[in-house]
Amino acid sequence: MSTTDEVARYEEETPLIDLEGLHFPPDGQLPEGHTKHDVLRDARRFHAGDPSVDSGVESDLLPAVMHTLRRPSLIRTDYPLVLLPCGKVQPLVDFFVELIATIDNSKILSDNLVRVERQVREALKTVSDAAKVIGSAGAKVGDMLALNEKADHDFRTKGAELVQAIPTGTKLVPCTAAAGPSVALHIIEANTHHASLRESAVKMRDALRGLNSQEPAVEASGINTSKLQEVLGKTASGSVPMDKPRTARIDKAIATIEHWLKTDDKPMYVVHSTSAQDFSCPSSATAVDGKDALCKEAMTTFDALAERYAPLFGAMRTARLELANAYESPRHDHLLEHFCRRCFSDAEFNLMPRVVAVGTVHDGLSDMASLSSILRSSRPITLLLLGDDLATLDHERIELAYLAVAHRKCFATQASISHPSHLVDSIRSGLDSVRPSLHTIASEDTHHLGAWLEGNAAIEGRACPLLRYDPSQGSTWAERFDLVDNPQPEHDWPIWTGEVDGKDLELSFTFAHCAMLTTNLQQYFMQLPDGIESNDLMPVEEWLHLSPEEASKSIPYLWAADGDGAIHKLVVAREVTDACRERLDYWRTLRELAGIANSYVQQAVEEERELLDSEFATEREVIETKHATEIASIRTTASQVAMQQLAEVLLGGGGGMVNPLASSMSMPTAPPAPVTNGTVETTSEEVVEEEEPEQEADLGEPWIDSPLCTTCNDCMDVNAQLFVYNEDKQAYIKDASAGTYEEIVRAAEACPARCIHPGGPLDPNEPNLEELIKRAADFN
Amino acid sequence: MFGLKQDWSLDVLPRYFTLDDYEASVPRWCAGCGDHGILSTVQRICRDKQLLPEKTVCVSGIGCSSRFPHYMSTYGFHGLHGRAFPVACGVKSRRPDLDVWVATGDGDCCSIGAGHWIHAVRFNMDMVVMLFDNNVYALTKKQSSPTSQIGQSTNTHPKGAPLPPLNPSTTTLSITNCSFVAQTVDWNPVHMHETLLAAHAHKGFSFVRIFQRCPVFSEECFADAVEDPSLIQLIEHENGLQVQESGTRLYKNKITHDPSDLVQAMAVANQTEVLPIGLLYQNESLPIYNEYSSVGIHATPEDKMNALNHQLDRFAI
Repeated sequence: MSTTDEVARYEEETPLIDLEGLHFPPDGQLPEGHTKHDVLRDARRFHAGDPSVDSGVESDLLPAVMHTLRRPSLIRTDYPLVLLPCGKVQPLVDFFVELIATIDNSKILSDNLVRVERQVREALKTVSDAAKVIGSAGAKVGDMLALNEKADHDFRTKGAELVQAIPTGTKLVPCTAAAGPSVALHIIEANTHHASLRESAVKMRDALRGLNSQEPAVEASGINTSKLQEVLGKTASGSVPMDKPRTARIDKAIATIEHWLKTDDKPMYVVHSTSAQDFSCPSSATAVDGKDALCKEAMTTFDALAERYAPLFGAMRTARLELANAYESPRHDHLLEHFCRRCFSDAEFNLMPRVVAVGTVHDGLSDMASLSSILRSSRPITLLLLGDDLATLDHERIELAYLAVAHRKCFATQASISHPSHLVDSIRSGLDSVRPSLHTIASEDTHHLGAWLEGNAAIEGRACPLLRYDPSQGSTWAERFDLVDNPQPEHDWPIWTGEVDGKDLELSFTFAHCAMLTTNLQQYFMQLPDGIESNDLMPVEEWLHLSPEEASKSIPYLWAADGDGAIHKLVVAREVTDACRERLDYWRTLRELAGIANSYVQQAVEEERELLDSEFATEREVIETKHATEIASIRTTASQVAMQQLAEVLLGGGGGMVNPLASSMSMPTAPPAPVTNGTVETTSEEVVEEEEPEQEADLGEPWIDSPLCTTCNDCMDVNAQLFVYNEDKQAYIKDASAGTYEEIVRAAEACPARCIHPGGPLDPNEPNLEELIKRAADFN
Repeated sequence: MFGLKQDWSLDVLPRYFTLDDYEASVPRWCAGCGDHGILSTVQRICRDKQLLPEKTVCVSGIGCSSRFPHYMSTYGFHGLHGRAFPVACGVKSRRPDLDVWVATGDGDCCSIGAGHWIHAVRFNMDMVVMLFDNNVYALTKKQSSPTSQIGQSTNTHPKGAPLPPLNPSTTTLSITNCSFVAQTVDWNPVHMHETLLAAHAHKGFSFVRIFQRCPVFSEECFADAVEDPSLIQLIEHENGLQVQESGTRLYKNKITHDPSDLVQAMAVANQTEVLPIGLLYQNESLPIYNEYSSVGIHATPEDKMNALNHQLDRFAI
């Protein structure tokens, strides 16, 4: 996706949050004995880090733009995520849309799926079976709605059909720290090729056995070559016995494959650290304790597997060559005798069990040497490292994904559980790239707003920007690096505009706003009395652009909203503004790498602009000079002519005054404007009815164009068993056999909307059919 | 932003209303009466919009149409002849939170209720007004109404009504502060649904004239238009009604009309050789009287007493 696309995408999404519900509170009281000057002095001291100044922040304050999100249970997110057995991952709402298309839907079910969705979200705490949770949530919604008997039956019946349509083994994942590994392992599990390896190995072995006369087995092709040889006679003309080295090679390959077939490897090895708390290893994986050296253990596990699989892959390569009769000893002997991991192709790496390391960012940092070894190597190990300190003030913070990018050859992402689509795409791309991949997954759940909003605030506040580096995409940064899914990437900070109490307000969401959500950082904010105004107070996003000298004279603040939507100014302490600068610096670096606001480009644009300005200025000067000369010339000529005419008039000669310049200075006349009359513009189309040739009537079954039914009851009066109302109270034919063809025709004739189409008779023995069919013709 | 989807709110009531929840007693209108279709269309809109029955009020005067509140399982007021508007305006005036639907007929609205009609249009209170126009007094068995056609035989004019009919739409359009006028036909539920939906969405007095068939007392009035769709003129515009193809495919006679053009709206509505259907006029920038009349509705008696005393204190010596 290009940068322009990214920008356009976010411009579309921006209006989702508005500043509705916010208001300025009435002016507050200054603390007793304090003047405005005292308050500003305290604010300045607080910003500078004076511990004696009390912050006085109320607990229900949120960044102003998050006020509408104050009740997270009422917000539709991508969660719960649905993990389908086929490896697909999708939000529950999308899953419902696809699922409901597979059943005979009813309005009452589709209208209430939003309630089921909400119920599922409230009930779901851990990864759970989808059918069970959705079924239970549906039942609760049914109880809650207390519908009438018919509607209740309809809702529950259709709900049961919906639950039955859920594929067995489908799971639901709530938005918790465990979501990242759960989703990633689910995708990796669905992308293992271990089963196909076993299938290939069996085929290869059988083919080799056929090739080798030592084993008189029936070949896959159905021809027993050994028996055939016996029948034809060993000395038959043209028959050449296989040489011994070749026989030995084939025997060895068969033995190697058979040996591997007796092993019982699982398709995935999950090395996990003790710090990955909420993580649960899939049943199809072999769990390996990463102890205190996660990366080292992952590397050891991978190397051990590679060592075990090298003989198998060697044997399979031998088999392929032998079967194609392409084995050349001088060329292949050495390679296949010393076949090891370094000789593996991408396809062979993919056939190996996947090795996944699950831990935290701290596990990666504490074992940097092994981590770097993996990232430099060709081992396609997947590293899932969870980060939970999104809004830290730590200035020495290491961006692990950024560090991984420096290794150049590995796949690296900085993802978040709050953006599952980015995470899913990254995991899939990482697997496709067949190289070591590092995924740092941000997840924090400390605020009452929940992990999803907290994670999104970290993305909005540039605390944890989403990034992806994929060397397999090309050789340039533009191809390899992207910042897709970050909000308003063209800006330093995302911006909202809106109106509060009739006053236009532009609010940015900075790292300071994100830090407000972290409980232990609230001490770095101080609430000012409402209504206090001063030139010294400056929004933090503007304050960050000031030079150090100017910044020292001002006090940065941000707008925060309380539970009632009243917005207050909070002074931001220096520790937080320093962290803002640090995050901004990192964000700007990433943007340059992604080609957004690139300083080289900006410099080139500036130089080009200056050049063009200079050229334009010169050109303008020339034109102005020329123009001035022309004006002076015309003035001279005009005055001479005027004087001459005046002289002629005064001397009694000449006729009327004729302006000799008139011909050259005449104004062009506009053509007369088209006269429009005020009459009604009609586009009445003439109805051109083409004569259609008479066709043999294909009468078919009777039906009603229900949307056109006017609910007049005329058809019901004819036969209430035959014609019934649907859930829109519009008629349809429930059972055509519940009445006669004559009744259907009669109803069609009575129907004022002419929406009953009688079709043909069901009963060929009904009396007067010929006449009835004639009458029905007008309505078919 | 914040990863939100367009439909991000899960703020839904723990209640759900089916069509049954808006149905009261079985309608006693004649079989084939156009009123059935109007009723079921309104009920469908209520269900689709999940309007709270206890926050919905149907008000009517007298006539066949005015039996409407009896068949809606909402609050209702079956008023006096011609007095639907004063009641509806009274309700809206002090309960602006209620959804008000007015069912009135050509006799009820355009004859005895004409005085109230004019002022209700000018008040521009936020309500939907459905004029069931069947060109006859049907409840009292076939007397000429203000919209009876010239030559239409009735019990009051057995040899045919002598005067040209009053046009309720042009009349409404000519009243000061008129904000929404549309026309539709009862035998096209798709078009009627879209018309009433737009009327409901409009903030202000939404006047919808529904050409309504009476199969018993004015059978001939719309029979030609039912049989021959070319007698219907479909009003189209990007700012008008967006009706599904199933509701428009019969109509080849179309007109493009900008609903913000009041003068052209008058011209379109004034045609007699065709029945124009669609949005004639809409203006959402006009003052709405219930926004003024409802100021202070939450004031307690104590608040009122304090305010009164405060005013009286101004004159204390």
